[in-house]
Amino acid sequence: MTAMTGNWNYPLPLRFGAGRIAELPGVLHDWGCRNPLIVTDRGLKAHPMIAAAVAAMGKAGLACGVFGEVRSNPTKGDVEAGAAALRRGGHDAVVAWGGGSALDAGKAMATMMHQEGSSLWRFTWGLEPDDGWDEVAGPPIVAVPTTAGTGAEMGGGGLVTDEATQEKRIVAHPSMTPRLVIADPELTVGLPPNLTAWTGIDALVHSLEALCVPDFHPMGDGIAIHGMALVHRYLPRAVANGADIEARAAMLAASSMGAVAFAKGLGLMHGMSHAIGGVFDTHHGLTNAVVMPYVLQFNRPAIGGKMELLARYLGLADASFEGVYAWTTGLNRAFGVPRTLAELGVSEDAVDRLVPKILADGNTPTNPVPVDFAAAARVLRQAIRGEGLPG
Amino acid sequence: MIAIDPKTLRGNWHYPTAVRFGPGRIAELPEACRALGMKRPLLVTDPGLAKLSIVGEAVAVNEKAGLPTPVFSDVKPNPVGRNVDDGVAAFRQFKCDGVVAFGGGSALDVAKAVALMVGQTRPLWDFEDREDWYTRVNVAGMAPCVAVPTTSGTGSEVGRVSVITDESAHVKKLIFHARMQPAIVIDDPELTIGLPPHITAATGMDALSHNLEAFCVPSFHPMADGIALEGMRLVKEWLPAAVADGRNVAARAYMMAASTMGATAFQKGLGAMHALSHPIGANFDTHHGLTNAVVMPYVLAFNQKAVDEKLTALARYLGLPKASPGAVIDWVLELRSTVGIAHTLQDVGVGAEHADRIAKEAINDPSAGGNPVPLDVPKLARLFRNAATGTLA
Repeated sequence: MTAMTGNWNYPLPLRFGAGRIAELPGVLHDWGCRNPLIVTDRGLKAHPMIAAAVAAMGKAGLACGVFGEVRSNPTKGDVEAGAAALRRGGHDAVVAWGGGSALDAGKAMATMMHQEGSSLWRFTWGLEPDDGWDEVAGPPIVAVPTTAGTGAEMGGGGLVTDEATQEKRIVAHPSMTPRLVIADPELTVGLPPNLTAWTGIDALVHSLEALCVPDFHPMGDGIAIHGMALVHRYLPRAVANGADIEARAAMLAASSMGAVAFAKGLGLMHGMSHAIGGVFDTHHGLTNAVVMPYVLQFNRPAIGGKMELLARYLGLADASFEGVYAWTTGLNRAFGVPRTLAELGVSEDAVDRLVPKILADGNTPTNPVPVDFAAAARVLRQAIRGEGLPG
Repeated sequence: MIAIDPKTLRGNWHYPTAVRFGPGRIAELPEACRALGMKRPLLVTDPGLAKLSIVGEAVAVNEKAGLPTPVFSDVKPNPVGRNVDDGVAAFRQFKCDGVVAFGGGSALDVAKAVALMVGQTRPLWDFEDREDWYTRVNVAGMAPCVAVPTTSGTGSEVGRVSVITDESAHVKKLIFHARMQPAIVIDDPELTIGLPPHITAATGMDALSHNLEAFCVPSFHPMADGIALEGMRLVKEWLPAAVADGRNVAARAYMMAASTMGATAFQKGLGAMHALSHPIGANFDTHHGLTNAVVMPYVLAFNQKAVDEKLTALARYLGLPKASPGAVIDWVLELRSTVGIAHTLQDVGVGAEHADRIAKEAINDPSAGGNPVPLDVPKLARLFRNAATGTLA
């Protein structure tokens, strides 16, 4: 079997391989950094791998702090607190370490380190850059993913919740782009089966929605299709046995690939997940998994050809949309993903509040079937009630 | 077949090169040059292209925007060190501050090497892709580069290497540095409309060879694999159409994408096809793409057991009649025949008697290391003889 190790550049430098977290102190040292801050979330801060990283830095002559207060679905407040920690400690690098929450928060903190008094929302994606936007700079970022996953390590954007409006906002800036990614599958071994499943389906949904975006980006399409082949083959193995390092490696690669593919954009699954996550604080990957069947059915008229191609590559018995639908819903069933949003605590009286947020989300416009108010409300209600699915 | 409006075949990509893809986008040349700080770029092209309207129009669009753009076109089809030296001299003579690489692989490679060498004092061959020789480069002295491919093609516009023949040694050398990758690429399929059918065929097969060899390299780079897969599907669907009717802009667009994808995928590496093509080209001045196309089925047959699973998956993806390596080989043979590629090396004037000499050079080619079956001189000699005599074994 090929050693699952490699150095890639799509679109940024990435060192892939089991055990390669050991290269972290050397990288920082080579960059002239002597005082990095590891940014991680509340669940991970006490994990032995963080303490081991701090110890390894010390051995390499680097001071190293830890900011472990990031919440899942990080908020502007989290980012500001982290930026303040960066300033207080005089840190010269950010090591964003964790799942999407820690990765996104860490990246945003780097941008905000020298922006005291400025608002994070200056960097809202799609906003016209103001004076001085181009000159904003922060410490270099190393991204270390521990889930497979959001793929948040792969780009210069992040999702941060606006507590005031309960909205997930996309923020982006070149200073949020990691200078290097270290993708070490050993760091994902401890992820429990349910999180492995939910983050794994997030990786799948990234590639699936990216593939379905009607824009012309054959590189993204190729990456999406092969990424889904890796999920098809390895996600059940990774869920069944977390120590299956080959499966963990394949899923980590598939996760990075999903984020690279989604440079094309995403679709209604993410439009819904962002809106719901902003209001109900649900797990991003899990929410995507729940809405996936409903949106697939909604998109069906526009994606038949692509689904056939995908199904053929995956070697599905039914090389058609139905085959892909059966595969994805089969994964949901196998992993105990709830069939309805109601089971995630989303109630129908939230529909009027959620639909405008769905329509305002940056991903909804690239859905292969156009989404208007009525369509968004219909799909949302179906997903809450569990209606409109075949069989 | 559904008619595709080529205007929809447009996008901005970043894996990692900033690629501006779309018909008519050569109009963005001045803006791209300015984005890289150029005020007076040297346009490097080949002598055939220099006479064509597409070069005149590119220069005109720059000059209209206030960017004087002198032209250097003393570039051989398999370019040599002297072409690079002369290009550097022209750059200095015209007091340029950037390079527009405009053409097929020859022009693109010379242009990238010129952009490298204007900042260096060491000779070109000191920057060969060996060990850590790239650390010798004075990066700050390099000139910025916008690349505009006119074949589909080598994909050299997204590559970090220039392949230049060292005439004294009769060897094709790979000059490498990560920053040789042009910062901006304009992929305008309309620039390839005039490409004659036999060049369309040969360069299209080169694009296929890049995707295919990269796909078969046994290292772990699933992103490259995904890109290679889709690149090959585009060649299958569109090369015959591009050869049959050069004005089919949609076909030209898909082939251009497949070409850029091939060189993106081959960051993973290449294999025996290229290990053989480089010395054959250096010694017999054959067209690179054509040479790859000629040796392709023989290398596939030689490698097939080692890449059985991959070629089976590829066959499924391409919708071939059977999901097997044999089906892939059959498809390649059929495609070559359809687009008019010669069947053997003998047919292009390279006889079996050269096997040992070429094999001894091929084993040293950097591409050899990526072949899924480990290579040695006897194996390469046997492969060469197969390709010369038409023996599929």
